[in-house]
Amino acid sequence: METLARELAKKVDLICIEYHYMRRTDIVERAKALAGEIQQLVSVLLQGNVFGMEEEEYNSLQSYVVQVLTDYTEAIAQRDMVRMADALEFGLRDLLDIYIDTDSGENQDEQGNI
Amino acid sequence: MSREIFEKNLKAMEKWYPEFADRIRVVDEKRNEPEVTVEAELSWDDEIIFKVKADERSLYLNGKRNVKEPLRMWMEHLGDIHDYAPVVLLGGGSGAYLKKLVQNTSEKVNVILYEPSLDIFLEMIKQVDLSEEIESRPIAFVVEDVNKNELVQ
Repeated sequence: METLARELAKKVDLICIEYHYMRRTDIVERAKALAGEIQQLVSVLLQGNVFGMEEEEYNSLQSYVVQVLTDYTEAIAQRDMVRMADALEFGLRDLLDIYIDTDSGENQDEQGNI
Repeated sequence: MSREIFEKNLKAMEKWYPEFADRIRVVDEKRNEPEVTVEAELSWDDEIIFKVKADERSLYLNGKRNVKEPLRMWMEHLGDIHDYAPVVLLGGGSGAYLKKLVQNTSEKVNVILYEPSLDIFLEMIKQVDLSEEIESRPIAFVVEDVNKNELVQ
């Protein structure tokens, strides 16, 4: 999972950088192409408390995951570039960091906005 | 509150172009049903953001979670802007980019804001206090259905 998360994080970072700095306007299409990988990683977080979090913390995480997925799918449906960039960069990226941080044992206190 | 901000912004505009401010008052009073609905929300980092709806489509003009970081990246990408350089903003949105630009550049930088939607422009000057920025330099506002002809004159 860590490898998949790292690969996805790289793709997300590239998409966001090219959106912000190179003004690429195909962010929605490029993000849509990542749906399979996103589903694979994010569905694990909804299936159970695999990281052994406190119940309250896990409930917050589930709610956060749902918010990110809602924004991701709505951004695709509405072809909303701004919403997609925000969902990827400041939503999905935090979720990927959970895998990356947990597996590597680094920065366990840094969990973004969750 | 919305009216108070609106008047404050128009008052600031009167310093540079009183006719434009008057025209905005008239256009606001006489306008019919808006073509697009503009909903103001607060982002997770406490900034006013706009969501615009037209027909079946709705679009955010700023990120819901983080407004400040994309603004910072944008300013960084622009780099140093020299005195007297013209900077054209296509679309005002919730005014965040205008504010950031004015706050981070010399008063001698010429800022032109073209807003293709009157509804969004009116909402921007009703929801967001831009009076300090407007007073600081003569920002050229060019708004569809108000003074867009100035672009070709």
